Amino acid sequence: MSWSKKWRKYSAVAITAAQSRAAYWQEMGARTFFFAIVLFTFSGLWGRIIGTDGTLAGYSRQQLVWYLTLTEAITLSATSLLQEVEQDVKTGQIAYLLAKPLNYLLYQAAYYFGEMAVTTSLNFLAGGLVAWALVGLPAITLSGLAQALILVVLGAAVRFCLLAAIALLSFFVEESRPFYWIYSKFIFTLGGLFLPIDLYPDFFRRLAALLPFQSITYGPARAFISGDWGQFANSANMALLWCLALTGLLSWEFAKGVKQINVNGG
Amino acid sequence: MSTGAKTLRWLLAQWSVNLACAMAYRTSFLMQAIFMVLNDILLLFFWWVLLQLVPDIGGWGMADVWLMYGLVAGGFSLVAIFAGNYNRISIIIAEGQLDYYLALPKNVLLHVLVSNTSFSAVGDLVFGLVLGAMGCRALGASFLLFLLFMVTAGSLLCAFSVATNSLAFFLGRSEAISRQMSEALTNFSMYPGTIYQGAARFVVLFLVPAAFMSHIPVETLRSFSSTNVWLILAANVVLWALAIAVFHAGLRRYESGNQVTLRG
Repeated sequence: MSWSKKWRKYSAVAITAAQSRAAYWQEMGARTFFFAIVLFTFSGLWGRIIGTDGTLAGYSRQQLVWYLTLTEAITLSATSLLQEVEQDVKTGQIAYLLAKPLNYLLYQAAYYFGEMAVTTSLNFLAGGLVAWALVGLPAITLSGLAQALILVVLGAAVRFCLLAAIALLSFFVEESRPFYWIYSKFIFTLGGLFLPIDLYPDFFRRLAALLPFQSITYGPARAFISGDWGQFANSANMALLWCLALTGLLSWEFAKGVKQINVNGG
Repeated sequence: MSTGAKTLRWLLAQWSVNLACAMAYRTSFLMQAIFMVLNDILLLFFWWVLLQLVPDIGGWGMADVWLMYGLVAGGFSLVAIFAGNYNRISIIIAEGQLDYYLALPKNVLLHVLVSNTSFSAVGDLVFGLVLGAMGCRALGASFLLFLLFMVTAGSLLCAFSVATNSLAFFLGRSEAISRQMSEALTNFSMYPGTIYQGAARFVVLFLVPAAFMSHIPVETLRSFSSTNVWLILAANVVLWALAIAVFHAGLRRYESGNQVTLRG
């Protein structure tokens, strides 16, 4: 099959996923409310620590609130990937899906990116309005915006690989949820969800720089508020490297898992 | 046997049935409890990093944060263990599952609340008690007073959730709103009281009473004030009176869904 045909096929999957996700407006409303509360709290926290005109290790209150706006917009853009893959594996549905003229992992990736595009954009829009009301608009540059957009996409790819790898563990272990909980804690700490990683003590800063979690949240948010090209190149390289490594790991895990499927007629 | 003793016997029987249900999935229960503790510990990471950068947050240091987390985690765990349906009441109302409770000769609200238990919250309880002990030791505060405030924190969370969940009587499906309101209370309680100024202070005192759940208790543990203790107890009484009033006002509007359900 030609590349253009493949592209059309998986684009259709992504568009369907985006439309489906947009239908759940109530869920999005609830998430926006939570998002607003988090931003409101942190605006108060940074206001108390930094004040209106001060800085914390070079970051102003406005920068830290907008940093959080992007990291939370990404983190809160939950997709159904983990649930779907886990269910497919546990119920044996995957055996039927493998027979379809679609690559299972590419299908899941297309669906995930479709959902992510809608949820991240809407989260950022809603969070952005709240942040704007709380601390005003930051001095965003066009290059910072472009850098952030590229890094959000690369980070989403890293996130897909990690989440799919966790979900596929269902081939080998009874319950893969605990691995997801560990992952989410790593995002919270070494992903720099609340605080930019460069504010961490030396050991944790070095550790975070080596791991893939900072590509998902810290990289895009840091680029958004700073627009620094050197930092962008560094973040993009790391994200690409992790994408390649994790894609390899995911393919290997999938191939190994599929070999374990037993199909019984009936 | 007095009514009080009968109620206590019934409650103990109810909780032991809940425990038996939880033990049917022992591995899952243990895993969840362990991950709850891990989750709680990692939440402290943020404060640890932040307090490396600044000496205090409006006068709050690490020991205050320990006490604050101890109260919230401990209070939450008490509610999750002893009144596990506290945040499911709106679903029970919306799905017409109240019929079951209405047909039995027990206090409806109490029966609904205690019919479910989240034993994984044992992890939070252990975490809360350990942090409370650490905080009290560091600040020279009374651990008995900490335990009292842990109970009042749980009681406030439960009363607030009953009030917000009872909105389902009037609005229909409103579990998202109720859940978000309870999360707002927990969220506001997990940040130092001094960051809420002006309108925000009014919100945490009167609309989402996080100030009575953790902020004022921590300040009272640090520097004892009997006025504050009475204030916290009064806030509990007022909120429970409001919650029970809203629940019963709603109950009069309740219409059965004629749904046939089985309770496991």
